[in-house]
Amino acid sequence: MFREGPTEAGITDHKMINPMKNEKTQQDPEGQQERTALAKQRGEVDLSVEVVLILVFGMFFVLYGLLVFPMYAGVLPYSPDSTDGLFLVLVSLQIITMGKTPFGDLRRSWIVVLIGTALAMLGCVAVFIPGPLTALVRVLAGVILVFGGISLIVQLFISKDKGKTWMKAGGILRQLTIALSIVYVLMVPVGIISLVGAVVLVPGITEGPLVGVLLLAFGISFFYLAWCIHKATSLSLPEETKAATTVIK
Amino acid sequence: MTSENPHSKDGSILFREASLSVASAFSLFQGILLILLGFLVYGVEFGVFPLNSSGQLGLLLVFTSLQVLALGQLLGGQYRRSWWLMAIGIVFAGTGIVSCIVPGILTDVIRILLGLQNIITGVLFLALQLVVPTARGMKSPPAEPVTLPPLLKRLGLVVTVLMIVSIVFGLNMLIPVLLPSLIGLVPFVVLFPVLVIILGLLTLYIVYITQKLQ
Repeated sequence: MFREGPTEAGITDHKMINPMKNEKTQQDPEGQQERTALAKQRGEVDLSVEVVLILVFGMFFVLYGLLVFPMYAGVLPYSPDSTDGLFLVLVSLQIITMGKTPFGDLRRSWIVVLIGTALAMLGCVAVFIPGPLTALVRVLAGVILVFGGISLIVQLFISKDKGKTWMKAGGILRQLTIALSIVYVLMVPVGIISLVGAVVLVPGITEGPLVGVLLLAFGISFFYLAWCIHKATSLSLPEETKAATTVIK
Repeated sequence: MTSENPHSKDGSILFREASLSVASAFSLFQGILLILLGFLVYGVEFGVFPLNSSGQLGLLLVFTSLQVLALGQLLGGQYRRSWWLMAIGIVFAGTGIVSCIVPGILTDVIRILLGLQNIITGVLFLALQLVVPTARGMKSPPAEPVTLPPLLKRLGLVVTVLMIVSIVFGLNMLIPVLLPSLIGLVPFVVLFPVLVIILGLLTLYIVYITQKLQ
């Protein structure tokens, strides 16, 4: 039904090869409007890899926030290792696919890919094996969120061609700055909660509903950010938005 | 970490721009994930540590959802990223995330989903890329024989083996649901991790060939 259909090109049509054609066009900032128009014509959803990853982060935190309530009430069990492990895996995918780290954008060199891969392996082990990595992945997730949030918000407003300029420019760029600010600011308390293990391990520190609401707000802010980035890129604002898309998570 | 010419061949390879496409980056991750999983399953079977199968299956499903959402890849093919396909990807992502956070509740559902996905992927690929073109070629053979470059031939062979392993892997995923009595039998215990490791190695090898083709 949705299939483009295999062609007679045989093996070269396999998924390992075909997508590259797509991706090269996806990552190319020029001709974004043409691509969007073409995608619209074909009835295709023109979401970049970056927007997709941000949407999945949003889903992760919204679902986590919703599930905190029954988990706190003791109705549902909770797996802290695989929750934190999945978070690290999503962060590592951003690093491997785009070179976007929790502390800012880097050129995607092989060393960056290697660091992302190491983080992915740590996250996977935490997901697969409960117990030995609980504290490590929790602290790592907390550190990424707290220090990543602080670092990104500072970069956003110190850099001349980022936050300040976009706020003055108005329109979608202003919304983008607001969305980034909300995400970066919320990263800090969510990270602190992760560091103190307030969700389940030390229930006295923070009330369950408060944690749930915070996670929900954090998740929703990702959806807003994804919309802003999608809108900004489809309006072809390549230079301004290229640097805007450092998000983590 | 920026330089004037990121593609420059000077300096350590570690600091050169990684020329990985998004699909290759996903496959690199998938290959490592599968190899790691294969070895860890051995550790589990020898009683070294427990395995969180909810988390494991949830992570595999989240990864599948990312391939659907970002690349339009599902069941071994590349599809137009319609809203329908996006909806499937979102449901997969949500199911996988919940399975990672809450252990136990979705394990069997995801096992069936992933098992079927692997079987259908393998069968579809073998049918559409091998059987149909061969039958068509016999019906109306080309005037001159088509010769593929050796690297493409090797890629074709590796992908075909990968798809066969994928079918066996899918069947293995379904066995605990369909035939629970087989769990614990030596062939099952030995076969599953080996299959997962082979799948991972083949995936990495395909990334290597794809990089060379670039």
